[in-house]
Amino acid sequence: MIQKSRPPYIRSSQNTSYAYLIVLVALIPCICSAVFSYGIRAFVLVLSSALLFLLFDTFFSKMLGNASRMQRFVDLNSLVNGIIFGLLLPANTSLLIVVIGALFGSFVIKQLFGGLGNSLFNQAASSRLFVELMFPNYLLGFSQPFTDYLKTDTLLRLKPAISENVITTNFKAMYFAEILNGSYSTLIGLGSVFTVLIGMLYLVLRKTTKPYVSIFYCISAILSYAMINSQLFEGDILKEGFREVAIFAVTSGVLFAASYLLAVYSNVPIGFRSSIIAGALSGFLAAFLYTRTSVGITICVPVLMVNLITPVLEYLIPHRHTKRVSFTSDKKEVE
Amino acid sequence: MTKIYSFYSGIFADNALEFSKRSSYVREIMLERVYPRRIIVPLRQGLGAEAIPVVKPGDHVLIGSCIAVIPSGVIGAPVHSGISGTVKSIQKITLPNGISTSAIEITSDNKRTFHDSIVPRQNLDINAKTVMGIIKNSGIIGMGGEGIPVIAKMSRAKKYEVKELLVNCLQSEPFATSDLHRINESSDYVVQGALAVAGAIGVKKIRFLISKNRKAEREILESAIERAKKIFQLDIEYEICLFKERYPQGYYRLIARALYSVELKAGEILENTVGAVLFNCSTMASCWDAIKDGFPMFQRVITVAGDNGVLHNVLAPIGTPISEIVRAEFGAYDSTNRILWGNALTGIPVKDLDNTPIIKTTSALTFIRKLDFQSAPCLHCGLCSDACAMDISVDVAYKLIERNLKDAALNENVLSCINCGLCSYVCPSGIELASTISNFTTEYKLKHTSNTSREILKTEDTLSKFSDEWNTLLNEVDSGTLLEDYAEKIEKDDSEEDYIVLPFEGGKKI
Repeated sequence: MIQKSRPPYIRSSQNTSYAYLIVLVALIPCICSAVFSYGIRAFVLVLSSALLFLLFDTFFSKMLGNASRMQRFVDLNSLVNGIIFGLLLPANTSLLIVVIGALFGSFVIKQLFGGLGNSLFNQAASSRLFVELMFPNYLLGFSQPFTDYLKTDTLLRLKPAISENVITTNFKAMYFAEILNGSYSTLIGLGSVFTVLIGMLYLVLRKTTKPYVSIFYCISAILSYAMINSQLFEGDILKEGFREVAIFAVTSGVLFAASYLLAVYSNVPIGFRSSIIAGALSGFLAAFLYTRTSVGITICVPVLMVNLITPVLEYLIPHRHTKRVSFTSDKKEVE
Repeated sequence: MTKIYSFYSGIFADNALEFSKRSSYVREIMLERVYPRRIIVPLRQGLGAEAIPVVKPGDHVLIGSCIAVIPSGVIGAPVHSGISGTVKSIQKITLPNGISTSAIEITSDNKRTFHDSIVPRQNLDINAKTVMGIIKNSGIIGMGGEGIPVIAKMSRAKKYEVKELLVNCLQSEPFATSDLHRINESSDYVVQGALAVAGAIGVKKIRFLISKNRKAEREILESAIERAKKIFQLDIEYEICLFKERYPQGYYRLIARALYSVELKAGEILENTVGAVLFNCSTMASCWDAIKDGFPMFQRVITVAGDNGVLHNVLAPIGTPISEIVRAEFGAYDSTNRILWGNALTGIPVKDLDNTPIIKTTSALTFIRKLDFQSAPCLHCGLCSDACAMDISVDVAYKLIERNLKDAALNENVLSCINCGLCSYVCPSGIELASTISNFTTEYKLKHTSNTSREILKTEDTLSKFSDEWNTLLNEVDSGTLLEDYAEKIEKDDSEEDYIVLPFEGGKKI
C-alpha cells in the first residue's frame, strides 16, 4: 500500500496574509491622498468600509460555514476589498451606501459563492457597481478637493446627493500638473495619480502577482480611447490629441483599476496569452464607457468582465508552456 | 563567455527557499562518522528484485561481507554489511517510501573488522568487463534518488552507444549537501570514477554538470580533472557545464531540456534520445571506491540537517536506523521535530525511528519543526504553475482533480509531475497541491498497469523496453555476485584484449 503523506513539510513564508498585507501597504499612499484631498469624510468612508467588509465577512462566513475551512487565517482580503471600495466612492457619500455595498459584497458576492477564493467576481468592484446601479443619485456627492476638510454631515444623511450641485470638471481649463496631483473632483481614491503609481510600483517590486492583465489593460484602454476619439488627432496633435489621451489615462481610473483591481489576487487570467486577450477587451470597454457613463462604471464593468471571462480563457488557453496532451491514445496504450 | 544552462522554471532556491541560504553557500560541511550498534539492511533498496540472503541468524559478518546476492540475469543490487557483528534476524520491513522488503538485522560486535577482500587494488590496469563486474558486485545503485543499479545503466548506455557521460553535481535540494561534500572531499574519486565508467561503456566525453554558484566545488572539480588529464592522458574530453541555480535541478528530463534543448516525453530516456547517460557524482565516487579501494557499497554520506540550524554530513553504514543517527548527532530525539526520510521538500516523515534504516538512495535526513500551516482557498496567484518545472498548470489540474474530472486532469499533463513539492511550497494559501496531484497520478498509474508495484512504474519510465536486452547484456558481465569472489576473476581476465586506460597506470596497459 502506498503511503499517502502530505509533503512538503516546509512552506514559503509568503502566505496569504503576507500577500494581502503587501496590498494593504500598497494602498496606504492612496488612503493618505484621499484624506489629504477630502479631509475627515474620506478617512471615515475608507475606515468604515474596511471595517464593515471585515465585520460582514466574518459574520457571514461563520453563518454559512465558510470559516471552518480556514485555519488560523486572518482574512485580510476583506480589509483590502473594503478599502478599495471606500476609495471608489465620492467624498460626500453617505455611510448608508457603504453599509449596503459592504452587505452586498460580503454576502452575495463573496460568502454565497463559498468565501475567499471561490468568488467569481471582484468583491470591491461588484459592490461599487451594485450601489452605482441601485442608488445612482446617492453617488453624485462629488466635491472639490482641498476644501471642507472637517465636513462630516454628508456621512450620516439618508437622502440622495442629487440635491447638491453636481460638479463637472473642465479639464481643458486646467494645467496638466493640476490634473496629475488630483486638483479636480473625482472619486476619493483617484485624486493623485502619483499615489496610485507608487502603489502600483510597490506591488510590482514585491511581485505580488503577475501584472500582465494590468499592462495590456492600460495599453488597450489608451489606444482604444485614441482610436474611438480619432478626431482629437485631426488638429494639433501635441496640444490636443496627446493631452486628451493623457487626461483620459489619468482621470478615467484606468491606472487605479490596473493597480488594485486587476493586479491584486483576484479572478484574473495568469497566463500570458489569456492576459493579453482579457487586457485588450477590458481596456477597450473602459475607453468605450469613459465618455458615456460615470467613472465608477468605467472602472468596475471592465474588471467584472475580466472576472467573468477568466475561467473560459484559462480553460481554452493553457497557461504558459503547459503541454496539454490528448490522453485517449495514451490511455489505450497503457491499458 | 561561459554558457549558463537552465531549464527556465522552478525557483531560484537561494532567494526563495530562505532556509537554503546556509546550505548553498556553506563552507563548513563537516563529516562525522556514525558507528551504529545495529543495522537493518533492506534487501531491496532501489529498482530491481529483492536480493537473496546468503547469511542466516547467528552468522558472523564483517564490514564489506556480502550478505545478500542477486540471481544472475536479474536487475537488482547485492547487499553488503556495513558493520562487523552477528546476524540477529531476517525480517520483513516496510520502508517509508512504501517498499516492502526483507531486511537483515545485524548487531555490532564493536570490533569494526573489515572483510579480507577490502584492500586497495594494486593493479588498476583492468578492462571494461572487469570494471562492470566490480560495479555490479559492489551493489552500487544510483545515489541521486532513482535507485537504478549502475550496472543496468551502464549496460543500457553501452547498448545505445552513448557519446557522453553526464556527471550530475547539481544538488539543489534544500539543506542537502552530501554530494557537495563528496566533491569537496573526494573530487578525484568523482572524476576518476566517471573516467572508469566512461571507459567501460566506451564514452569519449564526460560533462560535469554543476551550478554556477558552486564556485569552490567547480574549482575543485577542475583541479581534479587537470590531475586526471596529467596522470592518464586519455583520449577523453572533459567539460564542466554551468547551470543556473534552480530547484528542482538534476532530474534527467530537466537536464535534457537545459543541456540539449530536448523535451523528453514520459518513458523516453537520455540514452536513446540525446546519446548521453547520467550519473550522480556520489555514485561515480562510489564506483571509484569499489574499483580502487575495494569498497562495496556498504556506507554513504548523508546530510543531517534541518530548519533549526543543524547541518552535518555523516558517513553511516547502509541500514543504520535513524534512531542511531539521532543518538549520535543529538543525543536524544526532540519530539518537536518531524524527521523526514529525504530532503525537506520531498522527504517522507518517519514514524518508527528504531526500525527505519537509511538506504543507498537516502541522501538526507531532515529535521523540520512541527508547524501548522495556514490553509486558505486558492487566490489564483499562479505561483504554483510558474514554479512547476514540468510546465503543468498546477492550479487548473488541482481544481480538476478536486472536482473528480479525471480525464480533464490527465489532459493537463499531470502524469509528468515529478513530485518535487515546489507547488505546495510556494502556494501562499497552503494548499496541498503536490500531494493531491501525486496521489492522483500514483493511483492512476497503479490502476492502469498490469503489475501494481511502484517499481514497475519506475521501470516504465526508466528501463522500458530494456528487459529483453537486459539478460543478454548482463550475462556479458561475469555472473559472480560476490565482490570478494571477483578479485580472483580479475587475474583471469588479464589476457583479454578489451582494455581501457584507467588511473594510476599511465603508460601501462591501456
